Formats: sequence, structure tokens, C-alpha cells
Amino acid sequence: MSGAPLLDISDLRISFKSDTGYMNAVAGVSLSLRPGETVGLVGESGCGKSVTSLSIMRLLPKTAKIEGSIRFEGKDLLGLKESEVRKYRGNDISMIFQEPMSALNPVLRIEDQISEPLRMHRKMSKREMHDRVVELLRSVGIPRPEQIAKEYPHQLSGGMRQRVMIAMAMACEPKLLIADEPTTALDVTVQAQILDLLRQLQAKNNMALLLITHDLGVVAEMCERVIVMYAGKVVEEGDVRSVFRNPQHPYTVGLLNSIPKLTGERERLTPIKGNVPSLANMPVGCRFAPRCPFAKEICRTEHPPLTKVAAGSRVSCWLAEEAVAQ
Amino acid sequence: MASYIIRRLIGAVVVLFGISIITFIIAYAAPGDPARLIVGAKAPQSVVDAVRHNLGLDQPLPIQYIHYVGRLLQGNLGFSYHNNLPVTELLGQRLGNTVQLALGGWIVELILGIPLGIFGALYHRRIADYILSFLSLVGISMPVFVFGMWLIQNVAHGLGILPLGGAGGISHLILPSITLGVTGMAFYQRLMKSSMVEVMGQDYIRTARAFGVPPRRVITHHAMRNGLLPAVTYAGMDIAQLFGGVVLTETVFNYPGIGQLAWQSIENLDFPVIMATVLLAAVFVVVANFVVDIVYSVIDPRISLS
Ligand SMILES: Nc1ncnc2c1ncn2[C@@H]1O[C@H](COP(=O)(O)OP(=O)(O)O)[C@@H](O)[C@H]1O
Ligand SMILES: [Mg+2]
Repeated sequence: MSGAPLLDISDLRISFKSDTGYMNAVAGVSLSLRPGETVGLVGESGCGKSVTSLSIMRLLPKTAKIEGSIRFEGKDLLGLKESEVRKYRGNDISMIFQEPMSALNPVLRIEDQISEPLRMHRKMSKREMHDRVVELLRSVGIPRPEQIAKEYPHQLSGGMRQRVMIAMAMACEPKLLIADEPTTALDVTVQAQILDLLRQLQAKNNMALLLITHDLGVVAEMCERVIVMYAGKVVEEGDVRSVFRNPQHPYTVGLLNSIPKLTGERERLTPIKGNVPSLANMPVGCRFAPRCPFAKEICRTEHPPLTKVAAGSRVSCWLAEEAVAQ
Repeated sequence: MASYIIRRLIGAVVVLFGISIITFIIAYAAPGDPARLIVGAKAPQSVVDAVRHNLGLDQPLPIQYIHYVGRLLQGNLGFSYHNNLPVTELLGQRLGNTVQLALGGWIVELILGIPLGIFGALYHRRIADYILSFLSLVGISMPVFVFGMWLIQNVAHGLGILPLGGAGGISHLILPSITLGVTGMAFYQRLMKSSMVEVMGQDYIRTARAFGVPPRRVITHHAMRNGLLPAVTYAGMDIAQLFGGVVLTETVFNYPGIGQLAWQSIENLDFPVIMATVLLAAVFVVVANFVVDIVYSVIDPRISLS
């Protein structure tokens, strides 16, 4: 763990204004990425991954209240004026989304969409812009780039659309790419191709990648470090190898048990019983306690701190805490 | 494309055919004897009967209808005894005026309605939006003749800068166009507002923002074309609305167009003219909807005309 972090989020808290007051969606998340590093952010649907990732470039709606600090190359993005944050968007930091269909504009040609970040952040002539778009399309593995540039999103397949999104994200050679479930909407073979592409581009550009997913299999394949979120909090984090070999939090164990095994016969998955608590109804103690098979008295009344329990990983769980104490 | 146009043309013929039947039946069922209206109240019954026979009005209804359609196909819309002129000639004199007025009103509707709708979407649920919504409600519920009279009284008469009525040049078009436009723009405003609010919540708008596009360009380049689609669809139906507005506006401003003619013909039970204006309105609506479909397919690449 050497060198200054590229992105450093500390004690991030996000609430949404509602009719009945503020609903807390993210409650004190800290995470950091070094240049060129790949970090996975995992957790079930609804645990606050997208909200966290959107807050980095301040893309949440006005109803969101964001507290804490988000530093990029040392600069606190939360303290910047809107016009100053815009200089980062699609430039030093890029983002791609889960649904490549709805994330692309149905009435604009591919070329028009990919050249948008260039238009915003680079001074280029029309000719240069066109050449760059074609080059980008080629670099993300799109055949016949000259022709595809003139088409509309509905004329492309899901995988091609996601490639277009990636081309757009790479336009200004970002230092950080945030990918929010980039392969969830795609079928398995296309999924593998897109992950492959991301890995290649990352290595070529020494770009940091914050990969958001609910699939630990993807994390194992792509990431150096992993951060496990549950109900708006980080429950466990560490390097992928340590966390996968020796998961500390019962939630992480549950997620690992629900990865489909690719070897042998298709085994039955054991999903974690129960559901993520709603924002309006957060448990007071450990947020996972109602679903935890090992929950004890203290788990229901007090929230466990995030502490270092083993080399290279930290966990927020009373059971692990005790194990260390003994 | 060619097969699409052919299908649309067949559809148009069917619609116009249906409308011709309806107007014919309404004219037939209306009170008053056309033959008596032509010869006057004092003429003896024998003269009335002779006129009725000459006009073919003593024949069975289906036969009368077939004759009517036959004349229509030859471009003969009938004869207005009240004006003592063929209907085609009457319409021809006034058509240009009405087209100018309808276009003027439509332009005012768009110039006011579309930007106000976008503005309302940007200030959704803020004070400016509530004020606009209230004003648009006033606009929707304001009768043409009230607003038209008010303009005549306060602008034409009060300020003395524009003509009180009649036709001839741009100056005569201004107040009637404003009357038509203001009373009709509220629909565009509401439609544009709700569709822009929806569009601004779409993922691709978030994408545009995520790539550093500033708010103004998000609206003009990324949101507006999508947001315009419902307004384009409405523009087709609006032609029918405009026709209703035109009848009243032309009457208020004593403007010699088709609308005023229709109004006078209704007062005088001048059926050939009434039937012709209804048919003409139907033709306009059919043509407008066809144009709307083509414009729609130009704006939205997902729609193809086939
Ligand atoms: N704009 C919003 N307004 C109110 N609540 C929101 C909004 N966006 C997300 N949330 C809530 O925040 C929580 C976390 O959502 P999200 O970050 O999308 O989860 P995920 O981990 O599946 O990406 C959810 O309970 C969701 O309902
Ligand atoms: Mg999500």
C-alpha cells in the first residue's frame, strides 16, 4: 500500500430527501484506489453501490444530501462548484452504466454521442474528432467503425452498445473508470468479452478501475482488492486473495456461497436468506444481524467497528472481533 | 416507403368517404326545406316542388347521396343560393386568408408553448412552474371571443396601432393570430413540460451529464428532440383544434376566411357551404397527420415508415 491514492473517499454519507424526512442510503463508506488499481465494490442490489459511485462525480439528483469527503488527486470534489466538477466528468474520471440501451440517447448517432466528451474537454477540429471517434470504436473491438459511427443505438446489439459506452468513456483517456455493473445486462459470453476488453484498456492506459458488481465471480477475475457493502455500509474489505480464502464476515461468506461454480455439474446455489432492509427500517445494531445465522445479543444493539483482523483485510463484525480478542 | 404512402392514401380516402356520409346525413336531417329556402317563404307550393324536383331532392336518400358523391368527384361542391355563387368559388376566395391565419396562430402557439413548456420542466415544482401552470390554465379556459374582443378593445382600439378587423397584409393577421395562439398554446406548453420532465429523468440524460455536458446543452442537444415527439404528434390533432378556433376568431375579427363563411352558412342554413367546409376541414386533418408521421420519423430514428 504505497503511493498517494488517486481516489480517496472517506466517511461518505448520503441521504435522500423524502416527504417524511431524510432517508439514509449510504452510512459512512470509506474506500480508496491507487493509480492503475482495480477495486471491486460488491453487494446485493439496493445496498448503495450505485448511489456511492454516482456521488463521486456528483451525479445524484438534487434531493440527495452528500457528506464526508471525496478526494481525487487530493482535491475534494464535494467542495467544488458545479462548473469545476464538470471538468472532471468524462475527462479524468469516466463512468459506464449497467443498461447500455437506456444509457445511450436513442435519437443521436453513435458518432455524435462518442464525440461529446471530446467536444467538452478537448479542442479539436471536426475532422480530428471524427478520426478519433473511429479510432476509439476500433480500439473497443467494433467492426466497420466508419459505418457504425453513423448508426443509432437501436441498430446495435447489447454488447456492441456497451462497447460504444466504453469507447465514449475512453475518449479523454481517464485516470479512473467507474463501471457500474457493466456486464449485468449482457449474456454470459458477451460478459466475458466486455470484461476482457476492460482489462486490456486498463493495462494499456494504466487506468484505475472501480468495478461495481453483485457478482463475486467477476471480482475474482478482475480485481486486486474488494470492498463488500451491505445496506449502505462497508462490512469487509481487503485484497481479493485474502477475502476469498478467508472471508470474515458472514455476509461475505454468504455471497461466496452463492457464486455459481463453473467446474463439474451445475451446483445448487445457496443464496442468503431474507432481504436487504429498507432505508426507512434500518436495524439499530449490525445491519446484517436480522439475516445472520450467528447473530448474538450485541449484534442487535450495537454496530461493530471496521477493524483489521487479518493481514490485508478489515471487517465489521462482532464475531470476528471476538475471535481476535481470544 | 412507397407502400406506406399507398396505404395512407387508401386510409385517407376511407376517412373522407365516411365524413362525406356523415355530413350528408346531418344536412338531410336538419330542419328546414332547402327548396323553400331557395325560393323564399312567399313562393307558391308548386314552385317549391318544381325546384325540389330540379335539385333531385324528391329522390330516395341513397340516390341523392350517389349524385352528391359523383359531383364531388368532379370537383363540384354545389351551389350556394344564399351567396349566388358556386361553393368552390366561395371557398377559393377565402382559403388563402384562412391558411394564413391558421399558420399564424399555429406559429404563435409553438413560439409560446414549446419554450414555456421547457421552462416549466426546468423549474418543475418550483414557484415559476406553478405560476406558469396557472397561466396556462387561464389560457386553456379563456374563450376565443373574450380574448379577441379584449384585444380589439385594448390594442386595436385603445392603442390605435392595429386594424380592428378585416383582412389584408400582416397587420391584419397579428391580433387574430395572437388570439388563436394564446388560447391554443397551453396544450403545447403542458405536453412539452410533462414530456421534458420525463426525458430529463432518463438514463441517457445522466450519461450526458456524466461526460461533462453543461445543463444548457443537455437540454438543447440531448433532451429536446426526445421531448418534442409528443408535441409533434399533437400538432396533427391541433389542426382540428385550430379549425374550431378559426371559426370563432374569424367571426370576432370580421376576417373573410373559411371560418367566417362556415359561421355565416350555419346561420343561414346554407347547406352546400356547410358540407363543403366540413369536408375541407377533414382533408386538412388527414393531410396534417400524414405530414406529422413523416416529421416524426425524421426526428426519431427508431420509427421507420414501412
Ligand atoms: N434518487 C433516489 N432517491 C431516493 N432513494 C434512492 C435514490 N437512488 C437510490 N435510492 C435508494 O438508495 C438505496 C441504494 O440504491 P443503489 O445505490 O441504487 O443500490 P445498488 O447497490 O443496487 O446499486 C436503495 O434503497 C434505493 O432505493
Ligand atoms: Mg446499482
